[in-house]
This record gives sequence, structure tokens and C-alpha cells, in this order.
Amino acid sequence: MSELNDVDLIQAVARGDATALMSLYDRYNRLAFGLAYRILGNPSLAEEAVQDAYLQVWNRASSFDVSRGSNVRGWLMTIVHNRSIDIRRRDIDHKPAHVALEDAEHQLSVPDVWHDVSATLTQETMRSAVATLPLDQRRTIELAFFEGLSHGEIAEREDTPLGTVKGRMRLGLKKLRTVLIDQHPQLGGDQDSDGRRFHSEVV
Amino acid sequence: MVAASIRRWYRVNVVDPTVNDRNDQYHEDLLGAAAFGTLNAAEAAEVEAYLATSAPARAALAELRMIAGGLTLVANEARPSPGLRNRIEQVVMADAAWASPAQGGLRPVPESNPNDGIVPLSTVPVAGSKRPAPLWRPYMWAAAAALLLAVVTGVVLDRLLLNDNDPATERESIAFNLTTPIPELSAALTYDAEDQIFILKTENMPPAPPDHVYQVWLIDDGIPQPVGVMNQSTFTVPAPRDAYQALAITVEPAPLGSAGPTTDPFFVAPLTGEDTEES
Repeated sequence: MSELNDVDLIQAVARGDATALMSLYDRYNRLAFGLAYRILGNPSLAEEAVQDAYLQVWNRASSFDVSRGSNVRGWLMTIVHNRSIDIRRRDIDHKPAHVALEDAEHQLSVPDVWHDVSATLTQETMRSAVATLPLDQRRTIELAFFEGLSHGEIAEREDTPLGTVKGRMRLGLKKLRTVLIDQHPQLGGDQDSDGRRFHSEVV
Repeated sequence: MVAASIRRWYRVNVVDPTVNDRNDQYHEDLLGAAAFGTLNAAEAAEVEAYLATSAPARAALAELRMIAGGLTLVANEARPSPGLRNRIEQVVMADAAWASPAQGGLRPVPESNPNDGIVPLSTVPVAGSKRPAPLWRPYMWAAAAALLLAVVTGVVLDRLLLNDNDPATERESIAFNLTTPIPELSAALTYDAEDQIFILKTENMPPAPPDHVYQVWLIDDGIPQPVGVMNQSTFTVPAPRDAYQALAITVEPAPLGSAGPTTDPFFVAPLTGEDTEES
């Protein structure tokens, strides 16, 4: 049997092809479960998150806009992440869920090159990028991303001023962006090593 | 020294030569939180309002989301239990089986074990393209017909009661000539033209083997389309009258059957019949 790429599979899923969905499952189940387990620390809850995520893909495959990029993996993993955080806050932390922004309109603003690059990011690349962060920035980003903590919740957990937490997050994300641009120059455009282009665009 | 520090504090916190920088940082912090999905309701509303007025902010958020998305790769891979795949597959197969068989959404049957994974592109229906070659081997179809069916002679039913407990309901129906593989098993297949439903009624159907079920298929150009599991003596499936050439039943793993037939048909009924008189 020939191998279908992710875009072909998601388009088949959008047409109601159950086998295509299971192919996506076979391709990414270890990545998805690994992420969910990292967030939840409980295999049953992690499986619940992955199951919910794949069923969400099954129901929403038609909403994946292939004209804006080919990062099906990223889309799937974001769904897994969001569902895992929801379950964590509900079942482990017993906190209210965060509020999600509408996605579609904002995604239209992403330069195509970012879609292409994000689709080719590897575990090694991302782990290396995270490893370049100072410990406090890395810790802050990990608490936000893998535990779904807000700035205030991180400040409380770490007994750190809110402004410090925000600064660490801001600098950490800026650093990650710089590292990724260094590895993928086509993303860079005009900017200095501190990513001031990013900063100055926020007006 | 003190005066200088006071002046400096005043300059930073009251007179706002850097207020734009602070606003930038404030918004930047919010966008970072938005990228991670850690906003509360008030923050989300503020960010939404901000994004609506700033294209650079929208682009910045989208970039941050890409970066955050990359963080999903940082976790170590881990293997879930086999049951997870089965649970997902059961749900989506049941969902697909009860979708309209006439639409192009149902996938064709892969040649090998349906759990192999990937359906070749050439077998995925594409609007406007020629139908793919049948994957259900022709000899299975011929053998099933020869062993199980006598098509030409049989009993023609001209009236069907859909529910024994209801008052007799007469419907315009199309009956199909068929006989069954087991003498004590009786079966009647009709088509309700008004509701566009195939109705299969059986009596003395032997129980399926342990951990197995009878799964029903509609055959389209030799390709079996799953339409559900037969748990009762009556099975109905909505479908256009002329879209399919046969109805078949196979024995498949419980509880929801298989993506494609894994056994030879237990029962095959060609969908050719004689119109009955209008009742």
C-alpha cells in the first residue's frame, strides 16, 4: 500500500474515511499519548485525552484549512494539549477551565513560512531550543504549557512576583523564537538577535 | 542620590516616556498567555478586543502559537494501551456505518487486514473520478452466490408488517427473491419506496458465534459498504433503491464489526426484485 501524507489523510477523514483517521492514529498515537501523559501523569486520563482529541479530529477534519499550511501533526497535537489541560484542570487541579480564543481568524495572519517550518520541527530541534533557556524561564514555560497555569498561578506556585513570572515567560518565548529563527533563517526577516522585530510589532 | 532616584521613579511610573514599551510588554504578556491558552475570561475578552484592532498583534499571536505548538514535541513518546485504538475505531466506524451509504464518504475496503493502516490514495473516492477497482475478490462473490443463494425461484412477498405490535401497516414495497442457506432460516428483503429504506426480516437466524456479530453490507460495484450490525431479527438501512447491487451479511468480531469483511458472506441477497402492486 502506498503511504498517504498527512494532508491526504485529513482530507480523507473530512470525507468520512474512518480508516484514514486510524492511519493518523497509528502515525501519531505515541506522540499524542506521550504529551497527554506528560501533562496528566495518569495513563487512564491520558488515554481519555487522546481519545477525545482524535474524535474531535474526526468531527472537525473539514475545518482544517490545507490552503494555509500542511501541519496536520501540529493541529492534532494542539488539540491533544488543549484537551489534556482541560482534563488536568478539571480532574487534578480542580480549577475552572481557561477560556479559548477563536482560532480561525487569527490563524489567517500567520505567514505561510511559519506553517511550513512548524510542520518540519523535530523533537530534537525543540528539545535543543528549550535546553538553551535559562532555568527560570524554562521552568515558567513548562508550568504554563504542561500544567496550564496562568501567570498568576505560576507566581503563586513559585512564590515569585507576578511581574517576574511575566518577564520570564516573555523572555523565554522570545528566546525560543530566536533559536528557531536561527535554525530556519527564512523565518527571520529584519530583526536583531533579541528579536526586537517581534517586540516592536506588538503595538 | 535620593532625589535622583525619586526623579527616576517618577519618570518611569508617572511621566510615561516608556509607556509604549510598557504597553507593548503588557500586550506581549497577554499574547504569550493566549498562545498557551491560559487566559481567564477577562483577559480573553481583552485580547480579543486588542487583536481585532491590530494586525501585527494577530501575526505575533499566531507566531507564538506556532512556537507553543512546537513544545508539544518536547514530551517523550509513550505507547498507549491497545484498547485505546479499539475504542476510537469502534466509535468512528459506528459513526461512518450509519452515515448515508449513497454519499462518497464511506471508505472502500483495503485488501489486507483493515488494521494495517493506510488506504492507498487510489482507493479513496474523489469527486469526479472513476470508481476504484473493486477490492472484494470476485470469486468470493461468485462462491457465495453459488453456495448460498438460489436467485431465480423463491417466495415473493407483497406486504410487510414493520412492527408486529402495531396495527397492520400496509406500505408500497419492492420485494426481492431470495432463499437462505439454512432451511429453517427464513428471510424477507423489501424496499420501502416511500421512506427509501431496505428492510430485512429474518426468522430462526442462528446466533452468531461467541464474541461475534452479524454485520450487514451493501455492495456497490463489488465494494462492500458497512451499514451496521444486525442485533435483531429485523434490520433496516436507508439507501437509494438503485445505488447498490446486493446486500450481504458476514460474521465479524463483536461488538461493532469490522472496517471490512473478514469472513466470507454468510448471506447475500441481490437487490433485484419485482415491484408489487400498490397497496
